Parts: sequence; structure tokens; C-alpha cells
Amino acid sequence: MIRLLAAAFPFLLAPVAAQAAPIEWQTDFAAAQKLAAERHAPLFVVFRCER
Amino acid sequence: MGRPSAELAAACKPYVAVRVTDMQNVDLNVIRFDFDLTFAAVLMHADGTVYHRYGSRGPDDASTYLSLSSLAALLHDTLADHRDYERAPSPPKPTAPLPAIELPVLQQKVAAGARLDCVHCHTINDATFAHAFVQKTWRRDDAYVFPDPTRIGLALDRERQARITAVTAGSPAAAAGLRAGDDLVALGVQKRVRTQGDVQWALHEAPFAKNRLPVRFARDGSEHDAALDLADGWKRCPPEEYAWRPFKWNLSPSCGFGGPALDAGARTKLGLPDAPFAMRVQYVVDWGERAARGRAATAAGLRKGDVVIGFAGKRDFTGFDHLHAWVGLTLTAGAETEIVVWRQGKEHVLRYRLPE
Repeated sequence: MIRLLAAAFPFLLAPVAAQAAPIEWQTDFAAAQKLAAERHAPLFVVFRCER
Repeated sequence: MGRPSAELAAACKPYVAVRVTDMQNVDLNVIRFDFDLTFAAVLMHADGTVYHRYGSRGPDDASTYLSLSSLAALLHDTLADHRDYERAPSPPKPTAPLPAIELPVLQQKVAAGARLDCVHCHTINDATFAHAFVQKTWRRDDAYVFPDPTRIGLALDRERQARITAVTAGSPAAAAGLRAGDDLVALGVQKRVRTQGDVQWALHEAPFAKNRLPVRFARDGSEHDAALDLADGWKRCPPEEYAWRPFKWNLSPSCGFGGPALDAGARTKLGLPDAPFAMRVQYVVDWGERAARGRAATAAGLRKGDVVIGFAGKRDFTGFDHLHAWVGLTLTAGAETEIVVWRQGKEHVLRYRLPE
């Protein structure tokens, strides 16, 4: 399953530095929520099971 | 994949992007999605208003409705929803937070000394259903979470997921006048539909009982309102459609054993060329809280290494997942039933009372 997702969504699995235009991923939801409120930006929350 | 990744990264720029791999502190009163998925995304406002849910799958393929281009397009289109919302925000009514780790079943595990390094997404349904079993509030119909759009007669486009690609004749969608080529605009609680996940959320939130679900759709540049007439129990479907969901292992009743399904070659080798299904019993659940399940099967005469070819009068399972989901979603604990095993070239019927 993870292999399948790696094929479909390499941006989630590959190191950020390897991407052409890196996505700045937050890992703390509460902190991200605060940041989004300050910036008036929407949140993009990805849930990826690592089982 | 470099180009789509760059496209996605560009689409992410206006967002604060968060990657959650542990559900422990996720407030289940704010964020709800199809927890059984291996990949899901939620696009939302910081105040807790969810704009869209992305991620859905077919019964056999986890990537049926996932693509980088559809996700990038969703990120782009949702900016308009965000701008509209910011002009007239209507934050959800505040509720007491419910971090996933505080679900009663998980709290009991923690109290018993279990170390929970990570709460997986699929654990949420497991823990919720397990609590309902204990509280005797479990209803089998609760298992039909996030119904597929086929329940109302719709097939949707993988890329433009609000676009209807087919409408089943005689379905609620057909009766409401929806046609292939229409775009869903709103459905039930979902004020703006952009994804298959949005549709499934609206169906998830709709009552199980007979009801009329409002739908708005766009055709030829104008929008139309209609309603889907949903019959009592409309969410129920063949259990194989839910066989991929991890919670099936914890449903009650359960057969109490498991193992790999045998392919056509292995079945032929065993002298079962015409058997649609066979599985070898690799383990019997005779440990832990559910030991009674395995003990009942063992008492009936089931042994490790047996080949099961039928259960409770049914033989056409598509796999062990299907058998397990079928037992949990259609049979009743305490029912007199039978396991049909193939042993030394002969069928044996083992009768037993189906444990909880």
C-alpha cells in the first residue's frame, strides 16, 4: 500500500529537498492553525497513515 | 513525476500545509474524514470550517480517486471558497475538544499500561465501534460509513470529481433528473461539492432512514435544485464493498480464524478446480480479549492447516477480507452456523454457534 502511494504521491514520501519547489510542511496541527489564522491562509491538512 | 510535483507545490503555496501522521491530538469534533483511508486530505479554514475532503477509493484499489492533478486543481479552486468564506465567516459552534487519544477505548488501553506510540487514522473507527459494542449501542448499520456515490446511482470523474460521468437507471439520482455531464454543486450538508470525498461526506451525514436529500447541480451554465429520494436503509450495500476497511477485523460476530486465500492454481492442485473460494487456516484467534471466537471454531473441529471453502451456506467469497466483512455485516452472534472445510480430499461440515 505504501509503495502504491509512493508512486502516486512522491511529494509525500521523498525528502522535501528533492522537490523542484519544496512544500513547507508543518507537523504540528495547532501551530499550523495559528499560523493560518495570522496569515488569513487556508489550511491543507494531509493525513497519511504510515502503517 | 517532476512536473506534477512542481504543479502541486505551486498550488500549495497559498496554504499552510500540515502533514499529520499521528491522530493522538487531532480534535475529532473539528476534523472528521474517512478515517479508514490510507491517504486523505482536508482543506479548511483555521476556525475549523472544513471546505473540502479529498481522498476516496474503490473496493479493490486505494488509488481509484487519487491523482496529483486533481489534488492540485482542488487546491487552486478552493482558494475561491476561502476568499468567499473570509468575507462572511461563520465559524462552527465551539465544542469541547475531543482529541483522538481521549476515546474511551484508547484511554482504557493507556490506563492498562499500553504504550501508544501512534494512533493511526483507522484506529478511530475501530475504537469508536469497540466502545459502542461495550456500551451495547452498536448498530450494524453504523458500519456503512462514507457511502460510495454508487449508493445514489452516481459515478464521478476521477479528475473533475464533481462531474457526473454516469447515472444508474432507476436510481435516486436518475429519479432526481441528474445526467452524465452535470456538475454537482451542493449536496446535503456539503455546501460546495468539489470532490468525491465531499459527496461521501454529504452521504455519510445524511440519515440512514428514508429521506429527501437536497442536491444542486449545474448544467449548461445554469444551476438547478432537486432532491434525492432515499429509501429506508439506503446506505446498505454488499459487504465486499467494505471488505477493504480495517474495522472489519473487529466487527462482531467474527469467524475466529484467518489465513491466506488460495489462488486458482492452488485450488486446482488440491482437487478444487471449481471452488470459487478456498483459504488455508493459518491461525485461530485463541488469545486475548477475543479468544472465545477461536475457541468456538476449535471446539467445532477446525484445525490449523484446514482449507475452508464455505461459511454459513456461502461459498463465493472474493477473498478472506470479504468473508470476514460478510460475517460481521450479515450474520448474528449466537446463530447456529457451519464451516465447510476440505480435508484429505473430502468436504467436512463443522457446525458451531457463531461467537460474538
